Amino acid sequence: MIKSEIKKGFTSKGFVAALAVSLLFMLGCEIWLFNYLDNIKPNLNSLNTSKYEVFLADISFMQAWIGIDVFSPFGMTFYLVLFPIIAALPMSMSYSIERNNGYYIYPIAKVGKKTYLKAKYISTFLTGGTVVSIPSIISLMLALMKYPIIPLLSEMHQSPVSGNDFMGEIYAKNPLQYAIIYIFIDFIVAGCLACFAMSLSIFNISEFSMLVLPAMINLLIIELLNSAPHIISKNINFAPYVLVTPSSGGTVDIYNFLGCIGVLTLFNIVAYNILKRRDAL
Amino acid sequence: MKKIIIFATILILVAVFAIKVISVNKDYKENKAEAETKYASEGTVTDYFGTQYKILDATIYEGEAYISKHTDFDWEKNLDYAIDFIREGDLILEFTLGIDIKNSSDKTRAYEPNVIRTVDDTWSTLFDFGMIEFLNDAENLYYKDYYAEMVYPVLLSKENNTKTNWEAFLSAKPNLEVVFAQQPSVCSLILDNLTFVKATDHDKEICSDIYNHFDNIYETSSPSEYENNISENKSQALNGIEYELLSAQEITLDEAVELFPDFYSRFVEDGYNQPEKSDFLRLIKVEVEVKNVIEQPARCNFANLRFVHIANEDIDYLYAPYGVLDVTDNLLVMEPGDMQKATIIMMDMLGNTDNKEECDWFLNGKLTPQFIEDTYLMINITGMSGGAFADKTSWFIHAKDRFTLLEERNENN
Repeated sequence: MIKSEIKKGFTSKGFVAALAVSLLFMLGCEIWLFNYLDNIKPNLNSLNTSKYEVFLADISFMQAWIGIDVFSPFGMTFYLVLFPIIAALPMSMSYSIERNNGYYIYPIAKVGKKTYLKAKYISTFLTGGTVVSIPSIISLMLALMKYPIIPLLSEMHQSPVSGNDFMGEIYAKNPLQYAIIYIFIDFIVAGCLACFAMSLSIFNISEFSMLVLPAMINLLIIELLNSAPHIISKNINFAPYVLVTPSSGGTVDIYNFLGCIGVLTLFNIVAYNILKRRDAL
Repeated sequence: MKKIIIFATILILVAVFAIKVISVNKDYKENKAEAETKYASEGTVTDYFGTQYKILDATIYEGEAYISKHTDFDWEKNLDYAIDFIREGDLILEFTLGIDIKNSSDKTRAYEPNVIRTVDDTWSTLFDFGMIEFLNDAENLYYKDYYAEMVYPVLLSKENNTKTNWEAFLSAKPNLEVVFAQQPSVCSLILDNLTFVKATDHDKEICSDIYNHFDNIYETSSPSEYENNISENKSQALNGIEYELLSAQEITLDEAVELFPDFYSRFVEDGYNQPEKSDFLRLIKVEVEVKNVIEQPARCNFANLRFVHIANEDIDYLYAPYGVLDVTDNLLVMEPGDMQKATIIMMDMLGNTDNKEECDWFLNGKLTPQFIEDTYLMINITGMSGGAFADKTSWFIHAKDRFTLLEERNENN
């Protein structure tokens, strides 16, 4: 059952659509960044450069990676708005759809509701994580093929991450390792968000609502935190957005990460138990 | 068969990827080595942090000649004030520096934003030191493989300066030594040039020559007279602002946060909570009363600041001068009545964090209330305008620090 659900997830139209959208964004981001970075050095001598175009150290692959992109409109849009939607698109609505059309009776009768739900959650988690990680990995590979593996200097305002930030030391010493870890973090957070979207089916809301609600909640948390900057200054920030992109800077630490993942996981466990008992055949 | 084709395709793609990545990194290392070799062959001087510098050129220009030389610079767009500052008869001393950080013990030091940022806040870093004004222009600046060239123009006001004198000065110092201060800011860079040339290459006689150049500022030519002079000047009316010191005391971080609730976020943002910085950090609360704004507008320059906040009881636009990247934040134009009483928190690293010996010397021996007050009063004498108190305090702590070191060194010699 689990295998078939995973296979179903990775071959679903939702997965293909989500992957296509995320790859398009990634490609747009890379084209934009390559063009931007290639034009930085000539600008240095003009003295008419924007203050954000001041780059004196060599360009690192990190600057061309979508994960740390703070320059183009693509990276921010992808991680701030689209991330939860893309993660949820492949499989999060699957359970709700099958429940509403009654199809779920057959697999449940065959393997039991517990196994069925588990398979759904696992498939949702894996497809959600994969669909946001693939573009990030390809982006990283493209960046590595163009720019050297050297660390960025936060003092140079090359990047938003400093030594004090979450995994700042790794960032400074081994940027490639940092990028790989962040892709893994993105995988986990995206998987949890996809499951969160699926768990929303306990409220009997429409599939569309399940798709957009995590993104809305994400934006709402960011907005709330922005309106209360003193909370951020004390390193309390549970917006998933800040976890999935290093461009959020120093507003995240390991506790934020564990807190956010913990809240999402807790909700998913509760939802799993509710769904398991509800509609029992 | 299908599987084999897919596998082979993946294998080829991986191989292409690996070759490309290796090639990019190899090219980078080769270019870097080439630049380092080139620079090493030119000879260098080394600063406190191990960073190597070489002054490639130092040329004197007439003000107008300087402007006409740099016709590609958009003067009007980038410099609202520069034209006003470059008055008829002014001279511009332009340093061209080669900087090599490959051997620096603290590589971030050489990348210090205040050097680098001169690219974008070029004309916000206009300093008025009374007699010498600094135009901070990093024109021709480029960075490649741990090597940079920077051009630092220094505006020399016409008073008591002649082109002949300055050219003679430069010709007498073929090996100007660059020593960056607590920040390699332009002011400390140039001033250290001036002072350390004396300390390392020449004798006291030449040293006093330099201080003669600062007569307009110090009103004396020796440190002791200078300090005596301080105590006689409780309030000053220089640079367009008359003000008086109300209090100056060291405060704790908690007290600073209590004073300015969002101080902490800046504090953390800039990494001052890290032990390597906080150990050497002192927060000094200074209260001043502005008696009168005589000239208008009086210019306050917030660039190159090591402190974080200035706040005023009545107005809030004095807040957050630290944003050195933000030109508009850096330059404050004061009007009469803008500011009656200001509380300033200075974050001063007291020397530099990389030189423990120097910091120890300072912390153990010099950080007394009287010293703080004296330091502050030095500001009065230099006539810094409102918001620039802390900036200049920082500079003068540094200057005093250097001065004493210089004297000690001379005595030892």
